Order: sequence, then structure tokens, then C-alpha cells
Amino acid sequence: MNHPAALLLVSCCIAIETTEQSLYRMAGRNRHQFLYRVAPAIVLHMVGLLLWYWLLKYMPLGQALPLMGANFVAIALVGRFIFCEEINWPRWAGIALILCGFVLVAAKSS
Amino acid sequence: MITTPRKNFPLAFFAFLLLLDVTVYLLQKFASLQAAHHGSGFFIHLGMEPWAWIALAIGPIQLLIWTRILEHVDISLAYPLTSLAYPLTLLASQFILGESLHWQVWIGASLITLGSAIMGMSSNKTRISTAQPIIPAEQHP
Repeated sequence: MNHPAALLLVSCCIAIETTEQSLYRMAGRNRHQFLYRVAPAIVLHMVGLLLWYWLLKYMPLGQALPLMGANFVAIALVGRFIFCEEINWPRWAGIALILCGFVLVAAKSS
Repeated sequence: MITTPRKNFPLAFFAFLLLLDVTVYLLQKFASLQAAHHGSGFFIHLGMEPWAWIALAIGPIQLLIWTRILEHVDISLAYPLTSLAYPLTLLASQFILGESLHWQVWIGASLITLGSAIMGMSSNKTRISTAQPIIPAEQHP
């Protein structure tokens, strides 16, 4: 059984990565507010890095890394529901295949 | 739903981003190998490695390219495609570092490549929606 802090940290890492990527997307589409979007993204990046190292204290890498595959799904959902991107079935299929591949690679890298 | 034709995928930017990704991973590996040579004080020696600093300096370049890509490409397409850096790094680690890998890793890398190919091939036929995004700042000026 994992340390209870581990699952909380995993969720935080996923939330941070998703927010960071959303900020990059906003920065790309709005050059006037580029710095106001990128600066918090960089801060989030560093916080995420610290939480990631903290997480690795409680969880082996081979277990933590596959869980980060949830980033692909979370960011696709943000694209679909917040940025109104149209995701056709090849795109969902591609995301699913990449997710499977990522988990296979990550699970072996403990 | 009203749709507009997608702009061409910024392939050159994307290829350059992947190249930088692989370069950063390799530089980090070189730097940590060098630092590990010295025995004690790993992080102090890591801080004295030029490779580590070059890897760090590539970060801002990647940020500029990445935001430029996201200007034209859906994040639900671009973000999963960045995972192509993993199979490319595996290949580089074979040829440059001579690492040997488990078959499960090769299957995983093939799945990532296949998934990216499916997404990439369908992206030209995809049309971007002009539906109003929830966040108003998203509109083009």
C-alpha cells in the first residue's frame, strides 16, 4: 500500500502539468499577454519538479512514471472542453496508443 | 458546426523541438555520468559540468518554439506528439551510449510511434472548430 501522501502528490503533479500546458497554449495564442502567461507557467514548472522529486521519495519511479501518463488524457480533455478543440476518433486512438506505449516504457524504467 | 481549414502543421518547428528534446536528455546523461566519476559531492560536480548548463540553456529556446507551435496547433494534438521524443531518445541511446534495452521498451516505443503516426496522418483532414472558447483571451486579436 502506498503512502497516502503519494496519491495526493501524483494528483498535484498532473494538475500542475495540465495547468502549465494550458498557460503555454494561452501564451501562444495571445502575444500581448505572453509574459503574463509564461511567467506563472515557469513557476509552476519548478514547483512541479520539486513535487515530483518529493513524490519519488514515497513511490518507485517505475510506478510513478506510468501514472504520469494521465497527463495525456487530462490535457486532451482540457483541449476538448476548455479550448473547444475538436477531437476526432483517430486523435483519440492515437492518444490511447501513445498512452499504452508510454506506460510500457515507463513501467520498465524503475 | 462552422469550421475553417487548418493551417499547415509547423513541421520544421516540431522537428527542431524534438531534436532539442533528445539533445537535452543526452546532455543530462553526459553531465551526470561525468559528475558521477568524481565520487562524492555529485551535485557540486554536476554544477561544474558545462553539459548541464548547456542543457539548461536550451530550455528557453524550447519554450519559445513550443508556444509558437501551440499558436497554430491544438494542444490535444501537439502535446501527445511530443512523446515522439521518447522513441527518438531510445534510438540515440542505442547508437551514442550503447545502452541495451528490454523488449518491452521497444514495444512501448513502437506503440508511441504508431499512435503519433495515426494522429499526424489524420491531422491534415481535421478542421479546427471556431466555437467560442471558454477563456476569452484565446481569441486572436
